[in-house]
Amino acid sequence: MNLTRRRWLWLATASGVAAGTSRLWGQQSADALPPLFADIPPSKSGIHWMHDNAFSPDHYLPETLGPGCAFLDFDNDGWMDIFLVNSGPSDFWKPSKPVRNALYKNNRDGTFTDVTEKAGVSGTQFGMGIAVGDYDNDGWPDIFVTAYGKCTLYKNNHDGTFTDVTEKAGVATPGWTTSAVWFDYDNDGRLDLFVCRFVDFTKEKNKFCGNNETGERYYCVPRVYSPMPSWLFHNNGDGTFMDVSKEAKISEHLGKAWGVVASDINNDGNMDLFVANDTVPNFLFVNQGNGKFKEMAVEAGVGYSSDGRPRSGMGVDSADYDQDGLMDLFVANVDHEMYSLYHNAGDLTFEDEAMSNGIGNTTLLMSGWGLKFFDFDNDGNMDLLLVNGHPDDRIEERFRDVNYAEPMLLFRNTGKGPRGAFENISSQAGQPFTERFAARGMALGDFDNNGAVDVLVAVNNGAPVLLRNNAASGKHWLGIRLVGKKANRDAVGAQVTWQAGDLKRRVCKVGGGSYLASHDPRLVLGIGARSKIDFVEVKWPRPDGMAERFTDLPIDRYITIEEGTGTRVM
Amino acid sequence: MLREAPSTADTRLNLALAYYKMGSVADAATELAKVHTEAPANQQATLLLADCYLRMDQNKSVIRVLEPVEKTHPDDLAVTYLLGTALIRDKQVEKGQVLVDRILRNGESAEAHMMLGTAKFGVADFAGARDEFAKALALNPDLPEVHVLYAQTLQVTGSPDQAMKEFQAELAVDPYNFQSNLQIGAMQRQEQNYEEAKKYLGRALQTRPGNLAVRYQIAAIALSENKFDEARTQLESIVKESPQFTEAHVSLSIAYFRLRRPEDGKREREIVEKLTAEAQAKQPGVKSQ
Repeated sequence: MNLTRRRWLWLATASGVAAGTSRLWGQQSADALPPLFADIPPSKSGIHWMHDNAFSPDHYLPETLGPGCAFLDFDNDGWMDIFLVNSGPSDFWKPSKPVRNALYKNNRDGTFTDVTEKAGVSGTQFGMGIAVGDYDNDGWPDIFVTAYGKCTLYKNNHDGTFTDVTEKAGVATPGWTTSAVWFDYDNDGRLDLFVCRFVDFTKEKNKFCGNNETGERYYCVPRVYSPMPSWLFHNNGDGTFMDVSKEAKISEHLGKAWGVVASDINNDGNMDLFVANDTVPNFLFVNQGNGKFKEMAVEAGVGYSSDGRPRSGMGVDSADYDQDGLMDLFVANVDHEMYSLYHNAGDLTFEDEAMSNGIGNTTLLMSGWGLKFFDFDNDGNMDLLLVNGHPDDRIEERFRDVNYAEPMLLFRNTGKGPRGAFENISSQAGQPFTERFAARGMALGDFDNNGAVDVLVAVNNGAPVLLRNNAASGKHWLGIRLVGKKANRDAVGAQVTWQAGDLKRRVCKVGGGSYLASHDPRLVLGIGARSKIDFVEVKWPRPDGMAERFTDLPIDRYITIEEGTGTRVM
Repeated sequence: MLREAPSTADTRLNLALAYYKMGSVADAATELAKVHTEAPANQQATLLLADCYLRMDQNKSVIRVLEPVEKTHPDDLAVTYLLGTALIRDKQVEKGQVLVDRILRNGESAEAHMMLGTAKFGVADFAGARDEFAKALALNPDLPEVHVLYAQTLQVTGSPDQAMKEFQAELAVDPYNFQSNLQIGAMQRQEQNYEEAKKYLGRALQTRPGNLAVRYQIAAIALSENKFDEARTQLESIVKESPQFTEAHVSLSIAYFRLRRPEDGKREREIVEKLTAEAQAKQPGVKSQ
């Protein structure tokens, strides 16, 4: 490894092993180092697609709330491709020129080629979000696109094209759907589908929000629209799905759902769901293991703010940020509400640790959408990336301290959790973090396969932002692609533990997370400066649910780990 | 002495002043109201009574006491200021604005900026209010409540650390300032410094005994400290007194669930849903297209 003195100093300071060098580091010329994250402009990436938000003077709410985006390897070549969701025709908008989604193939050299038309995924609806999953266990990722209108399920044909199988599969959900997640709720080895539904909205039901005297409109706070139930579809294993929302006790809870993450919050081997709702309490659907869910957000302390108020929940994620063996939760809200970092107390209750981690005050005036826990610098700790932007383009006329376009935030995990774990390092994260965006969806994926997880941000009515991660260079890692055999092939719900000398970490492969987005399905296990991984242990999702140990592993590359090929651990 | 000569206004005024200095604003107001009844011409007592009412957020009482005085003493800036502030806080902004203009005619003053700030705060122009309070503070840092009002705007415009300093500055001159004690208590609760929070909230309760906002904060601390039964008792008392207090119903629901009383928890949650739906139906400025 070619490690310069400056690079060493940076690494040492960042990892805290050379505390005394910070003054020396301060004397270095910052411009000699690559920024932690660098924007890759369209001229270099070849991504020239733009989102069209269908803006109108009538301020129809769907205009301001997309789009979503994803990293996926649609052609199974081992390189992450990109999917971008666009708006489209609807009852309130007839585009004057064609508006379409975009699928970009990774050319393996930092550039991408638009293959949308050939792939057949342009879309015909007013698209919102995306969830990618191999629902038919054929080893090829399929695509589910949510919409204001009707969702679309694209089955992968294994030849670079997709077939719209929505109707045949039985997942043609009407209304306004937002985030969706593939996960195996009944542990039968097949991915099921949860689809968030937002409010009861149509052009006819559009309400006037604005200045009654001048007639000028702004985007309504969703408080004025009625809540709706979300959907849960059971995978029948024959290419079709059954709507089990009622039987599973999902549909009896009316919400205004934006973000969803599937995570096992009580370590019982059944995937639970945390759903962010706007202006009504969030949902925590705890999987009872019998095909039913129990909604427990209020008693768990994640439904309302600590002041007993419902907030405007948008993006969500889940990770064990303090490595105590329990999955924690995160939800972003709108301005003047602060975001919440819910630390799992282990008894199905959570304590909001946003204030004690410096996240509360930092996000007081911000509105958060895409967000994800991930180890951006491969030191083994789960950091946190948040992308933001107020939903109302006219907010600055009413609140001078709140902005429509907002900066992204990067919090580094110091490993001192659960309180005081996070440190806001946005100001050191590079030029993209000094800019402001109307950011919505955000996906994670290592598009250049260097072990540093990169970022894709979908911007409302703008070009997407692709960020190259430079922060992890010089740190060691192992990338793993899990392949379930008895378990769902994507291994959603797998728990992975790894040890490298004094470093022992565990992650759960959650389903979904962020907002309207889908992520690189591979896991990157950071080991910092350590040069060897002692073992990786995978506890596969049920039906088998066995734990296997893998040793003699390489580092600094991606490998595939198949269920049933390791040494069984009791 | 009062028992021997219950109509001695001066003695009662002294007692009221003692209460006032101790932070027992409600007791001071009780005594001052008696003085005001006995000796309505006693301007000092009247102003002090109005100030007590203002601190207790009883704006209509301030207006009742001061409107007759303002008619006979239109040039008394103290009266104009107190009455104008109460009118603006009572959402009688146009009437309050007349008094603001009167103060402004006397040149730039801290009082005028305070009233303008209060008016802007009332219409959620927090940044505008913050700027007005900053000007008032620069002109007269000793103006009662200038620090606390500035602090509140700092809080909602994203400067909580600076807000905390201003709340503390207010307490340095007025240890029993209600808002400062309540807000610092609430901030300390959010930071999970529960013992510290209780100290401030206790002082706030001393200024406004039985205040629901303070009692709710104290109950929320009990909930966070896993003292579920204590929290339940406090919250039950709050919702009995104020059945529309949605946040208290939310917390009571959590308390019941944690006490393994799911049926009671569900009942409270249903009350929350009903109250929320009612509140949403009353949203201003929204109509179907």
